[in-house]
Amino acid sequence: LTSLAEGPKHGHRLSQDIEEFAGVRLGPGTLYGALSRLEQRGLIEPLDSDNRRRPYRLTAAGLAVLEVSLSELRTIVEEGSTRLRLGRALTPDPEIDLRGSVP
Amino acid sequence: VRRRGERVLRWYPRAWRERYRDELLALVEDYRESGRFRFRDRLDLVRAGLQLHRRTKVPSRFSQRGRVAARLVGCAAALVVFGAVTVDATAAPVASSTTHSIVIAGERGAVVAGAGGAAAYVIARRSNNSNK
Repeated sequence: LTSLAEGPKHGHRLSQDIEEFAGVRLGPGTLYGALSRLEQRGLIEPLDSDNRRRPYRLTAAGLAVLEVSLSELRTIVEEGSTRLRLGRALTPDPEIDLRGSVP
Repeated sequence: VRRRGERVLRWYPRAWRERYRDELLALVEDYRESGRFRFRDRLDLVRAGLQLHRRTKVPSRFSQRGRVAARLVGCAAALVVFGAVTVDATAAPVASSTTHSIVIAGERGAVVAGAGGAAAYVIARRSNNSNK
């Protein structure tokens, strides 16, 4: 959904884009499995195409779901950052106190 | 290349294949042309196809119990056929004691599985009717 937020893309372009911004390489089966699920849920829709490389775009519902998901992620990032700052403030020497802890 | 892609698509549910076949094959071609297609992508195609089978929605008139019962009935039918075939094959008076034991076990297995399958089917039918 994030990849389609900037405009319609076909499968290969989506795959390249996701690899570029997220560092995740999706196999063709995984990508099309996801696309078909998103289409089934009404979050994306195919556009007319002259060739077999059919572009997809976000629907209004897809846009709304993406906004909610990003908002939830933002909350988690902000909360995590706050707690990390607090934790660092309470442990003056992280090299000693955090040794052996799980990151 | 296309023929190989078509072969991989056999792992996908028919309805899905009919809808996305051309697009998925085009994507695989793009992966190959850009040098991005690897062996793990072939495995990914098979895995995704099997996963889609699991996720494919079954019409609501078949409940979970109904599907389990249908499988049991299918197994029972297979065992009955197996039992019948082995009885037929050992009808000649040369059956050793081992073969005889296998036949008896097959027959008993068929009877038990058949009865179990039939009971499960009846229970599932009743359950479906009471849910309506």
